[in-house]
Amino acid sequence: MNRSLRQQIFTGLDWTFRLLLAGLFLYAAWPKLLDPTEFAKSITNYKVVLPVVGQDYVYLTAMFLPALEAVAAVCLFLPKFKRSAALVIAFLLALFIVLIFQAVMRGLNIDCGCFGNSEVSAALATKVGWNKIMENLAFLAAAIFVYLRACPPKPRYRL
Amino acid sequence: MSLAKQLSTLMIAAVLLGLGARVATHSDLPFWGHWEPIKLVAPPISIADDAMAKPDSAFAKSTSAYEVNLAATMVLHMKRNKSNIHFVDAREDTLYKAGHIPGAMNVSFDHIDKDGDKFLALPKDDLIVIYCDGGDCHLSHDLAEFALAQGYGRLAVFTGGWAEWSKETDLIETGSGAK
Repeated sequence: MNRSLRQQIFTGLDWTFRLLLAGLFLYAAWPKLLDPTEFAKSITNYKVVLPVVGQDYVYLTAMFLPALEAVAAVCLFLPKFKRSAALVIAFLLALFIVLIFQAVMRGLNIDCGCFGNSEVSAALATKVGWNKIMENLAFLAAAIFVYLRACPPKPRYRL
Repeated sequence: MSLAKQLSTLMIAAVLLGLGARVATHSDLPFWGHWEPIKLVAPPISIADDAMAKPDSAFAKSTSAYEVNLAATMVLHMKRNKSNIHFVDAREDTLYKAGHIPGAMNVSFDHIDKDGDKFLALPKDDLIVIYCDGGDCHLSHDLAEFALAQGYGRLAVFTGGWAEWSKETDLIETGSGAK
């Protein structure tokens, strides 16, 4: 495969992944931004008690996490912010994987709360489980790909 | 722009958007501190409770909703006319028309902005039994939460819902039913 063809394939994949991730994160963020209280309920379902703060973080998280999702989704298309947006999305996906994993391990039979509680979203959202973890791992791989593509190339020195 | 600067800008934008959403949605919940959703579950009331003979005393005013099983719901259904008990179906209009508990009125929680007034016409001192599909359906709990916020204090959520009722009884009404 020659270099220009490979470059074209990578560029195509980059655009596809960015569109996919941005669509997904915007769609997930919107209902949660409109109804932070409902999302706060989903967070309490995970029953994660942090050291020192306990569950005091719940509402603050319910308000800013969807905002961060939305901002990162939009920034994927701003050349100056593409790298940081991909990094944030990768971090969020890793966080979701850990949260879902602990819920599965503890046997919690809960909805993931990924898309808020709107009518259409409820149809998309699924219970936490291995399927959800695999799905998030695939999105994480896509986010890492976008991040690596956005990193500035290493300088080449020639004698 | 360095990665650190990009991340800082992104965080600031997220904080501003979060604050904007808080203002736009008129949310008055605290930023920080202990918060948990309204606990709906008062002690479940079953047919075995002697107090079921007198629903008025069994379902005292409360800040949470009682959960009732099928047997208790059937007793309440029998007593609904004498004891001012109302049945409310929280499902979609089409599902309600396909079949519902006889005498139940339809207040679809998904259209609460439209149907809310119908619910608010119910007397606040009467006992209101709410149900939806049962199982994973959360509409009955959502409607109960809405009712609690509106000052209703005698609410029972039939957790088995339509799935259990239609399976275990022949008491089924179809069409528009009670308005």
